[in-house]
Amino acid sequence: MGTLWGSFYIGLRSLNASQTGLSVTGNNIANVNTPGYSRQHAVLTEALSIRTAVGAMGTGVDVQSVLAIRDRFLEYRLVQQGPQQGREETLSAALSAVEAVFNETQTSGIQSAMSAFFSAYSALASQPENMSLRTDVLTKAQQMAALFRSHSAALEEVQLGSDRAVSSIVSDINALTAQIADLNQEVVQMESGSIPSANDLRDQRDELVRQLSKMVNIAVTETENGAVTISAGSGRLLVAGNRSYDLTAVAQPPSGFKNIFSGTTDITAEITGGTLAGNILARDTYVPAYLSQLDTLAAQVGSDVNALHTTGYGMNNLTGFDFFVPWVGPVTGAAAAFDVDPAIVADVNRIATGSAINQPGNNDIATQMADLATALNMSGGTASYSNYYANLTFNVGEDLSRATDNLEIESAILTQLQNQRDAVSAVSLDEEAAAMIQFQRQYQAGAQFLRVIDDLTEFVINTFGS
Amino acid sequence: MRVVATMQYRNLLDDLAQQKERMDIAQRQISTGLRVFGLKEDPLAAGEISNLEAQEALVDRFIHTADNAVAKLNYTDAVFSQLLNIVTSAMTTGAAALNLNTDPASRQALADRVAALREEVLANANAKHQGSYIFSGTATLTQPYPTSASAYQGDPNAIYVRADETTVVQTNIPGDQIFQGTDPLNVFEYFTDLQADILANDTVGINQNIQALQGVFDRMNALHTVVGNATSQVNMIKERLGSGKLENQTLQSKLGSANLAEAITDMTLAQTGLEATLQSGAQIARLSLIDFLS
Repeated sequence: MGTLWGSFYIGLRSLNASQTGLSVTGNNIANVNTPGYSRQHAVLTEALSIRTAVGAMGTGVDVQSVLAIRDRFLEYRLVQQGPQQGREETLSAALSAVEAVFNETQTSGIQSAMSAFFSAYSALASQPENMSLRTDVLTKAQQMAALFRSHSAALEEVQLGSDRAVSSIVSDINALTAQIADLNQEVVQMESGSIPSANDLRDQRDELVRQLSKMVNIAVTETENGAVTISAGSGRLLVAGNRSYDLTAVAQPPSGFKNIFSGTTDITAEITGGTLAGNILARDTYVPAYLSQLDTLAAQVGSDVNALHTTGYGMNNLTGFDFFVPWVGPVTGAAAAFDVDPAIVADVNRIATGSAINQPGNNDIATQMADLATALNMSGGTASYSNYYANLTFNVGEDLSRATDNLEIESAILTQLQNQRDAVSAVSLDEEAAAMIQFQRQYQAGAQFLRVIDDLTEFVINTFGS
Repeated sequence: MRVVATMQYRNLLDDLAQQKERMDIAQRQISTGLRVFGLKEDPLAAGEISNLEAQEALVDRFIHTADNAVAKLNYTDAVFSQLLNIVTSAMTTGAAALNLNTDPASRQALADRVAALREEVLANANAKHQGSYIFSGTATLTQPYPTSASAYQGDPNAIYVRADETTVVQTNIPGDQIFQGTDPLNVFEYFTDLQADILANDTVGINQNIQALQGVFDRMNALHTVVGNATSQVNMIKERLGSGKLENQTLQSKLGSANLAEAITDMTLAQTGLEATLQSGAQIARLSLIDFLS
């Protein structure tokens, strides 16, 4: 049989439980916009009953725990999706910078400069003696050469930008893994004590892991003591327990671009996801391919023009001059060094137009030079310079289009996963408002109950105490 | 599914971004008239436009070459017309001398006229177009005939220009072909001989020179026809190039130009969509149980 004093404790427990519930609700409302926060829930349980002559009597309510609502599978999928989205986002941004270089739908570029050069030579073929037309050939050649150089420099700048980003991302990764290791330690310490689940610390750690997953492809496993072990690439340890293992970005000859090392092992090839992979892909795969095509074109144009020019005669009856500064050896760097030969710049009479001495009206070489514009001298004799360059711009557009499409797909998947996670873990103000009313009512009822017990107690004291 | 505010805001922002991107594309299409702004929007079209622009530049180059060639050929044609008139005048003067019998003063006058005509031939033989001698072969800076007594100073080479990808057209006739050909004497020598024969009242000589000048006339006339044919050929090529250029531009326009009606419709739809998204988005913040608590 219950007692009045026992009822006091039932009322008190009710007040405590509703206060805890209100605190949890308040905390949820306060964190409604906190990234990575998982809503919490006060788990109420019936307090242990006591045995009486009339049977077991309830003793009120206890707060068993404060539980964070999470779906481990969705958290895992988010970490899995991060690297895909991060890689495509970075690659798309880098290729957009390349697109700006080659976007001849908006500005004049190499294609029109090549056309202008060969057209100027064609005009010179009509009047080889015309000094103004000679100067025009020189000007157009210089403009074309300058564009080859500036395009090459712009591509190298994109490469350098990606390389600088690699160093910066490695620093960010190391900072994140150090924080995660610290949080590992705190979670383990807290959960090994009286607190069953370090909800807030876990939320913070999960958010950092998600940030990390956008930077590099990682694998995450949770150990029994609550710590997470994180590895990158092919199992290269980043975090284990309270220790983090730094990655390093080390410059490699001859380019000076940085590779990624885990300890003494070069793991660059293992980086397949995240912003780190996006930058490495842009730097080592995409931009070099464009540069190579640009170099090939510059080397071929220079070589073909020189081959013809050296056989011709200028107005001064001199022969054997290169038109462009000759490029010897592999094509790498040909576009960056592309320029008109200083001897031609110094004297436009050296521009060869004729095939024989003392024939200023002879335009054989000038005509052949103009014909180079349509000659199939590229890609093993299957493409003209303009076809080859159009193909290069197509490649840039196609790569960017694919990266943009991939980014849209990966972003949509990520958004979907974030929504799914939020559907489980995010705070709903409606729910919190309802919970608030619930706990408010519980508190009010508990307090009312205490007043009744208090009145009864007073009545007993006043009636029998006097 | 449990719907929370963060999801709604995230989806709202995604929807707004999409509507604004759609509006931006439509607006740029309307304001620029272009369909393709970057390579990624339509890489194939961008590559094709690049090729077409190169082809258009090539056509422009041929048209420019053709214009130059036509100008030079037209000038040459005019010079030939003058030369034919001069030679005709010389033959007429010779024929007149045959009818004058022994009047020395009249003969002197006719001889002087022949001499004057010879100088006119000389002036035409040394004609220049844009600073270059048109009848000195490829030695275009060398005067073909410094004097009427001079031998030909130019060279026998023809000058060709490429009128299109497969056609080359000769734009000059070397002076030795015009003024001498396969004759033993050049045209100036015939004029000089005719002048002397008129003064000497040598009717046989005058007749021989008139016949020789007839040969010169026939040769010049034939070469004049060559020039005329070359002019016609270049003009026809130019006309064909112009049509090709128009087709090229039409194709470029199809590939790269915006369909304005479609763009304006897109713009209107995107604007309506954006307004609807903004209005519905504004409701998200209003509808919460919190607002109904007293």
